[in-house]
Amino acid sequence: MTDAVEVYLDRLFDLLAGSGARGRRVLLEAQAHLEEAVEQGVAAGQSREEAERSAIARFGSPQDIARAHANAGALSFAEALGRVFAAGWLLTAVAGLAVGLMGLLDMIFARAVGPNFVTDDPADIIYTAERCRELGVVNGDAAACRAASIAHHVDEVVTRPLFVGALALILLSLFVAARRAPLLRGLTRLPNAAMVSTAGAVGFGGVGLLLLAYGLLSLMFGERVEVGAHLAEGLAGVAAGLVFLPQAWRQVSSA
Amino acid sequence: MQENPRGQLELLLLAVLRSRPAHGYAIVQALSERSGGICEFPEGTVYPALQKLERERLVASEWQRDGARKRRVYRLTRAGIAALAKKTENWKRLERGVHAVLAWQE
Repeated sequence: MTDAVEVYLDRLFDLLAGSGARGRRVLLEAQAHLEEAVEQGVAAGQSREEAERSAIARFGSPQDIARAHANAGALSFAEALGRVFAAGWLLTAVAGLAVGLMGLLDMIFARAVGPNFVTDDPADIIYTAERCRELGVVNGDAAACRAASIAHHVDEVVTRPLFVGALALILLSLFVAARRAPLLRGLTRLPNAAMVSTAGAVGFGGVGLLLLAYGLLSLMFGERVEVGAHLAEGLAGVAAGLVFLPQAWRQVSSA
Repeated sequence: MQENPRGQLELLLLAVLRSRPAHGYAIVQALSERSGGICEFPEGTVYPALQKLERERLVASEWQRDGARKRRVYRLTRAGIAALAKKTENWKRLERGVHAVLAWQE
């Protein structure tokens, strides 16, 4: 096989990128087909260059083949629904893990810097005696009630997200297990690697960067109350975006 | 109905495979020979079409080695034989309809 067929197959490979096993099979069959067509052309008296040009011309442009491949791969309603379900499953699991990471960071910030760094009550709040009792403060003053209330909020922003993170870990483990089980693999078939990874990287990463920037700017302007929560949200978003970034980059840069 | 044979590609592929299992290149050759060169289309488009037929379980395929070359050989399934009969009947009915309409010109 010489240059013209190689160049053709490289172009076809680029256009079929991300199409998985079906695309790889089309590429292998295209290679065998073109090799045979060139051999037959040479056997019929053509020069190798003529035979290659003729074989490629008859085979169709890479765009034609990629388009036919895409059309032939059109999914049934059930298949399409299954792929949307798989994408939702994976993205929900990663989002849940990000929430868990946010809780973990909130816990670290609250311990390292102080509870007010992650949560606070409005300055003008009035703590009733009943509310103080609910918070476990009996006969305490407003400052004690306020401290108890903030500790309660810290628990909320740590415990609940950690619980969500634990559920997400189970969800992700189930996804990985289903992907390895031949009978369940179909449930984890994603719509399109480029689409899912780019949505994950841009969606999570973009929101994460915005929140991180907001938290850092607040710190720069001397703000110390609840800034940790924004930083935790931002870092968790960026981390979730980074999960998808390598795959998204591979897909986008090879398009 | 399409004038372009691509619109009937699946029917043509099933018809060629009815006689014997074949790989893509042999299918293209058979289509060209049997149609006297009328059914010309980008040869590479048969592969996605064959995959579609396989997904619909109308054909089955397996890799076979022929010397140094590895080729995917396709054969018609039982469902494929039934689908071919149905598609052929539909095509013939359409053809009769078109002939009947065209006959009014004469």
